Amino acid sequence: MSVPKLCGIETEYGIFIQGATSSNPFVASRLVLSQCEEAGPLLKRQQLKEARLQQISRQYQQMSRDWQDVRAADTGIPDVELLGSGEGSYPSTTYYGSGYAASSGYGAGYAGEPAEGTYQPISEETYMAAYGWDYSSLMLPNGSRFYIDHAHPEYCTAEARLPRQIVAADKAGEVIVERCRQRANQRGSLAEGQEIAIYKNNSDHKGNSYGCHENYLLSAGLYEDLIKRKMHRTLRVLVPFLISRAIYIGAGKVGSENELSAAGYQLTQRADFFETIMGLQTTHNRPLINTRDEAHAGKDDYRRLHVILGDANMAETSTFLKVGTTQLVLMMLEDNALPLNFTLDDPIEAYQIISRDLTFSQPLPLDAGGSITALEMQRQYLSAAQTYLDAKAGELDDATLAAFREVCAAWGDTLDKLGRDWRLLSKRLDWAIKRNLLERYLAGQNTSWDAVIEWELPLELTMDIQRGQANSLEDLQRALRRLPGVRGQYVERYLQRHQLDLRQYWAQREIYFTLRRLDLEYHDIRRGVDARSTGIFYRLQASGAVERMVSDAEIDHYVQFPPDDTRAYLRGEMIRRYGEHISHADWSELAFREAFSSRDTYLVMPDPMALGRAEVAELLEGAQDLQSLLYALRGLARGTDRR
Amino acid sequence: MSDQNQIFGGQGMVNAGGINADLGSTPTDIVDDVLSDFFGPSQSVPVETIGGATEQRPELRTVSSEEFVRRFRQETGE
Repeated sequence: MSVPKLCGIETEYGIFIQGATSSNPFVASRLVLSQCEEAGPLLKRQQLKEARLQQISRQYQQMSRDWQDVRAADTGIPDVELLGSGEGSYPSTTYYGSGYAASSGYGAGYAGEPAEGTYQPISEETYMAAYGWDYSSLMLPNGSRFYIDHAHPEYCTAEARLPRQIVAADKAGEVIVERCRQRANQRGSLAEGQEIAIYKNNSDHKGNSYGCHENYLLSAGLYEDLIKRKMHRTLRVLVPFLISRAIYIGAGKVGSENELSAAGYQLTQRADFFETIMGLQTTHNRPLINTRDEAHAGKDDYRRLHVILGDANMAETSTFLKVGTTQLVLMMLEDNALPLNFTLDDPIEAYQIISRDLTFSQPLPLDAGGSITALEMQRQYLSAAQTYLDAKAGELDDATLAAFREVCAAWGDTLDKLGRDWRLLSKRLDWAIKRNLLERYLAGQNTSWDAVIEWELPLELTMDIQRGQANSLEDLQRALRRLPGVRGQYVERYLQRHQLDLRQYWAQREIYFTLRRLDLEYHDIRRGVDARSTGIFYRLQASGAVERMVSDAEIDHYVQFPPDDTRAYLRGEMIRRYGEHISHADWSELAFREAFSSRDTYLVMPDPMALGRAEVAELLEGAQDLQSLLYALRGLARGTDRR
Repeated sequence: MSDQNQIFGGQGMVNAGGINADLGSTPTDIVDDVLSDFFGPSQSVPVETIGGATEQRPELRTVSSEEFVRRFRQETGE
């Protein structure tokens, strides 16, 4: 029988400081992480010494001078508002700022976009609050990891077995990040009018994408097969599954990116950013199958499949389907119970076609000839999964069997509704919830996606025309002609060919960026007490317009506690009870610095399924002290050693 | 049964939410309320044709020259 497909989700959150010039996401991310009270004793130890603080102060002074130099050479409009960068790559100096701000302000409850000239630079006090401590990674008592991945706050859930657990743990991560954001805004020494905003999405709409990666435990044998020895299985089964699941896991996005054709609205945030089939990299030339071979477990027995092509989900059922169906497919692959072959002629192109196909009827050419739609592919995966579960009924424990039967039920119901009318899923799936919202807005403007698609390219090509320069038709025509190169000439020809009226330019631009703004604000993670302090998704959820998979009590449980039935239980409980003695914490080992030893004592946990509550709770409760506990765990932990 | 199994329904399947086959679509009044909250009392952002006066400031992104050339060729076949 296959290895249980434990899963953890790592989410890179988009972040920026509203109301700040040079909204440095590094500063913002560190401010947020520094407020992680959930880390307990691990966080308290990290204040820097005075000499280091003085060095950081000098660093700020230099940066401040650099910022002034940049601004002096700029247009006078707030500069370099960064929502984030690509999965750890350094941020590019693309602009984020004022484009999203409609006349009513930034929206989503923020106090409003400051008028031009009211932006404040990041103060030295803010900078010191961000850099005056020395940790960029925290393991928490709930077994998860909260850290900074270059310019992003990133949260990775503890390894868990069942889809509902994983959904609750993912939402618990959101809660922790949001609490830290709130504390950072209250105590993070930000200037008046500045506020950190955080989004659980995957794109800053400026060509930068950041990921939401899933990590699945595989047997070493399956990993070797998929990545090294039998890659035909990857192309036949795994790649087609991962790209076709976009029809229910996509988070939805307005427009296209990465130099691809106009989309209007597409199912996924990420499909535009994938350019190759397999590869080690995650920040450029992104591969559908990432080959990063970091097991975080005993490598002879286990490996980790690092799935990087999915979207970050707000909707619980989208996450539930994302991990549940993928776990099932990996179980079937490991048990050699998936006799399908959907090798696509061009998987990269197919992913982009699927993302743009709002009818689910676009045929995808197969390598062997013929074609198939994403929906039909998914129906066949589901059918195989149902057969597999029936065959495994006697082998799987009751909880696992029930959990994956529930996945199949949800999967089947979702595919059935996709085949009938997507609106039936406008409470369930992210892209459908968002699309419903956006289409309501479009209806209010008496327009449609067709118009949005037609105007997308000319609008994108003319973004450097400023309103104040082109209020009349003649001024707008002159502004087009002043664009560098032949761009203006091209836009005029495009407008003629598509019979678009230039007099509609500003109206269409307003609509386009309002759509993008709504798209962004859907991913705002705030859950406040009123509409102004709550993001769009959570306003819809509070109104009963979003299907729930887990309760708030289940989410709260995972804010505090690790999963019971994996090694995350021991990791989390050791951090909770003995965090002040821990010198190093990682997924598969903890190091303790103790008075009884001049060297660190390591607790090594190579088996992700071991050391759960059933195995170690009694030892934890009965331990007299850390030394005796580590001694008692030595036998259980299979590799506890003193280095 | 552990605390966690009680929460996640290891045996009894405590269904805190879950799949509803009769889900239905979202009532438009809820979406309208959310949009109304979002845009403020004016219900929506102003949409005007040329000559109107909004305070909307432009998005500052520009398309790269390479991207422009590529799109130009794609669109015109040149």
